[in-house]
Order: sequence, then structure tokens, then C-alpha cells
Amino acid sequence: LADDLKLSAAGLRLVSLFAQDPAKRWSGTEITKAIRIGSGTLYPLLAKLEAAKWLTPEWENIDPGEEGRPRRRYYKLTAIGARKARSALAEFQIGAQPVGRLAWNT
Amino acid sequence: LEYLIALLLGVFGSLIAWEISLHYRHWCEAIIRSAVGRLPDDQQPIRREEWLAALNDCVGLISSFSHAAGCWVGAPAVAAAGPKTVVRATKDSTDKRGPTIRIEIAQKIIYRRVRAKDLQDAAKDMASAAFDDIAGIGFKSAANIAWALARVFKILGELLGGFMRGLK
Repeated sequence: LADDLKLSAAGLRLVSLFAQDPAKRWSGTEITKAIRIGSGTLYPLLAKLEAAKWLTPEWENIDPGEEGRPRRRYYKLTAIGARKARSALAEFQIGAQPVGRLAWNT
Repeated sequence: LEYLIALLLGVFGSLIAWEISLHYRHWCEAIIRSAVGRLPDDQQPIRREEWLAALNDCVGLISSFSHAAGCWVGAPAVAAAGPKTVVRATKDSTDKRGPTIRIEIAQKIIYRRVRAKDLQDAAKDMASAAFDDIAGIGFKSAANIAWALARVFKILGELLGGFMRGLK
């Protein structure tokens, strides 16, 4: 499944955010603030990346009863995810390079 | 008179704004609960807690409504991204007319509270729905379709057997 994953522009932005610091874990709200992406796009993407094993979820370590709020769910890049993310971003950068060159750059 | 109308409109507007500010959090929670209801049962507790926690982090009315509406709009895509269940039949409830069964194919509720006399129609619809859903989730090969249909009919057989035993 991971090999077949097709990423949209929003997906690439999300993967690029995770790839900046593969050890960092992000909650949905933090991602929304960081890359300006709506919940309607973000959560399907997170679910897709989680199903493809690019991301691994973990619950915030609090007692909801004591804190009086639900636990946040954090996502972190897996080893497979980090490799796939690097490859997807590299592929995107190759694809994004201009085909021709300007006359004064040649 | 114009001043009076403007004053009344101002007072009325303020009252509405005050009411909204008091209740918007509950409305957003209701939207999220409705969004969670669009997911398969096994995904519901996780997403409910995750989305309510994110709502808790939202500051202000617009971001809260935007988050809640986003969850509602994105719920079918979240459901589709989750683990695929080709066929599932669970006991739904028991009432004075006997037990009822809830049947899902590829995480869509095909029948809820189905009874023995409805099973024949259900079987036909399940088979055609299975074809549609299997095609929709990317099962391309004939072998996979045959395997999935075999599961559909195996479960239908079990259901019918259960009902027959229940009727006896």
C-alpha cells in the first residue's frame, strides 16, 4: 500500500512537515497551525498515511478525568515513513524542476 | 423611528451573538458527534476523542466551527482510509418481535434491524452491493471478487442457519 500511495499537494506539505524533524510528534491542531490545512483535508490524509504505515499514532499521556479534557492523538513518522517521505519529496522536487533553462542561465 | 429600529436591531443582534457565544461549543461537539456517527463502529471511539481534543484546542467560534465542519465533511474519507471490512454481521437489538441483525459491507450499513423474512431481498442486494463495493475499493481481479463473494454467501448461510434454528 505504501508504494501505491499518491500524495496531493496538501499531502506533500504534510509529509514535508513530518520529514523536517522525523522524531517530533505532532497533534492535529499543531499541524493545522503549522501548514494551514483544514480538518476536512488533514484527518483523511492522516488516516491514509497511518493505514500506509508512514505514521504511527500515540495518545497523549494524561488522565482525561483529571485534566478535564480529552487526550490528544499525536502522530510520528515511522522508519518506513521517513524513507518513503524522503523519496516522495525528492521525486516531487525532480518533477518540479523546470524543463528548459533561461538563455542567460545557460 | 429609524433610531429606534437601529437600536432594536443592535440589541437583538447582541442577544443573538451572546446566545451563540454561550452555545457554540455544544453545537460544535454535536457536529463532531454526528461526524463520528458516519464512521464504522471500530473507528468511532478513537476519532471521537481525537476530534474533541482538537476542538478543545480551537480558540474562538470560527476556528471551532471550521474544525467541526471539516471533521463532518472529511469523515467519509477517513472511513474509506481505515481498515476494510468486506462483510460484517452483528446483532443489532432484540425487541418483542425477536432479534434483529445489522449487516455491513465494506463499512457501509446495508441493513439495520433485518428480519428473517427480509433476508431473501437482503441477499440479492448484498451480492450487488458487494460487487459495487469491491470494485470501489480496488479489488480488480476475478479471484478477489470470487473470494469476497464466497465470504458474503458464507455469512449469509450462517445467518439463515441461525434464523432457521431460532425459528425452530
